[in-house]
Amino acid sequence: MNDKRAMTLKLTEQEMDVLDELAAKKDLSKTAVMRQALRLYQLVDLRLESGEKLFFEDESADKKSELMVL
Amino acid sequence: MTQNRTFGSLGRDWMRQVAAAEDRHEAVTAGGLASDLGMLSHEGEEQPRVLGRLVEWRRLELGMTEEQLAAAAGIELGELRAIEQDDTEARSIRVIFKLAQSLDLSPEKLAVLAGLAETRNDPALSEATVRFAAKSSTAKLSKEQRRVLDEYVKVLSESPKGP
Amino acid sequence: MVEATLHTDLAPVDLALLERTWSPKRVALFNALEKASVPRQDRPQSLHWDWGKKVPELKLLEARGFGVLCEGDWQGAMMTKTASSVSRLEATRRKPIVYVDYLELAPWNWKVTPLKRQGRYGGLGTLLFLQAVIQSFDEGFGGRVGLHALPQAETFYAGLGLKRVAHDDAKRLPYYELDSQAANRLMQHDGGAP
Repeated sequence: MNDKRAMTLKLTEQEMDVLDELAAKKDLSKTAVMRQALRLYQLVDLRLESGEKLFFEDESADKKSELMVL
Repeated sequence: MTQNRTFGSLGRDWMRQVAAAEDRHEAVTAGGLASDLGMLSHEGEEQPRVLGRLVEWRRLELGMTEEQLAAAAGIELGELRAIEQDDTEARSIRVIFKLAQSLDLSPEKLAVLAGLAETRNDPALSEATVRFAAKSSTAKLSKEQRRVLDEYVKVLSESPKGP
Repeated sequence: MVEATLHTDLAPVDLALLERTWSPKRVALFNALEKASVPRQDRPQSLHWDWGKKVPELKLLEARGFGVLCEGDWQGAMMTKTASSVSRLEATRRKPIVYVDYLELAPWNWKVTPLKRQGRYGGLGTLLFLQAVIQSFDEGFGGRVGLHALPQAETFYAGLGLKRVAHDDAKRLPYYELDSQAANRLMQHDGGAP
């Protein structure tokens, strides 16, 4: 399960900028950021598949808005 | 691939120290997931033992004998008596649901009282349960007891809102 | 002392087998506590847990199961997650952490003071928790680990250097976190990990 395979990823300039920014913000390598993104995507996808919904909540404004992830 | 690491001759002294240190503590358990799965029991939040009293009161309120209620719910008389005396920890969900139907009470809330289900945010139920426990006693019903019972049954009869 | 093997990637079948072994021991312990009329608040707080419910979680990329096997039985187990929790400490707010979703020992390894029982094997909690710290370093998270401790375990985690961040009302448990500095101090004292 821990054997790794290599992959070449082509990203736009903007996507690379976002990746750099997140890596700096989270103190992670770019690879680690991509890995986290994949884990999060799977987690969200599975829960949506099971019928749950994903919301952002603003407690101070007493607001809740649904985030649609396809 | 599973990485297996064997702790044999390496770090024996360290392991002994660690084991001794751990022994001083009551537990090592971490359990956020247990909370998510509704598996926590809460210290100081134990539901008072009101199930038996409620069942008995409601039965008397409806003018039923023990035999009549047992027959209506399709359970053994001995089992009904054990429930009314809070004599048993283990009650099946089937019995609780049948009793709830026969007594016209909310099955879900009765299941909570029986310790067969957990409810997260039902302060109305918890509060009502504490008030009922404080005022109830086994006997034929006085006017005051009837009022207390009616209030409690009202909370139990309210359907949960939402999906 | 006995030899034990640490497994760092439990499969669902491992958890299922573990629960099959631990469950009757929990029931036996419950009966012993009932017989001794031990008040509910003095009983181990994980008496009603069911590891079987956790099995579906292992298919998540972010989840990983760890266990210690000795003399043919699982002696302790832990599940960690890496994507669904972030640091709640001010200095590292929202940075990734390894979150310990679940850490528990086999019932025969529990210390049960009301019954004057000591656990059969010691040091398992520390051993497992250290794996979470190692995983955090491996992931590039700087050793940061977070968890919700059961109240009976708070002194244990405080003793390892975790800070009590706050009581989490949603989980109804206190939340603790190990920062990088504390993680480095902890690893310096470890005798066996690489």
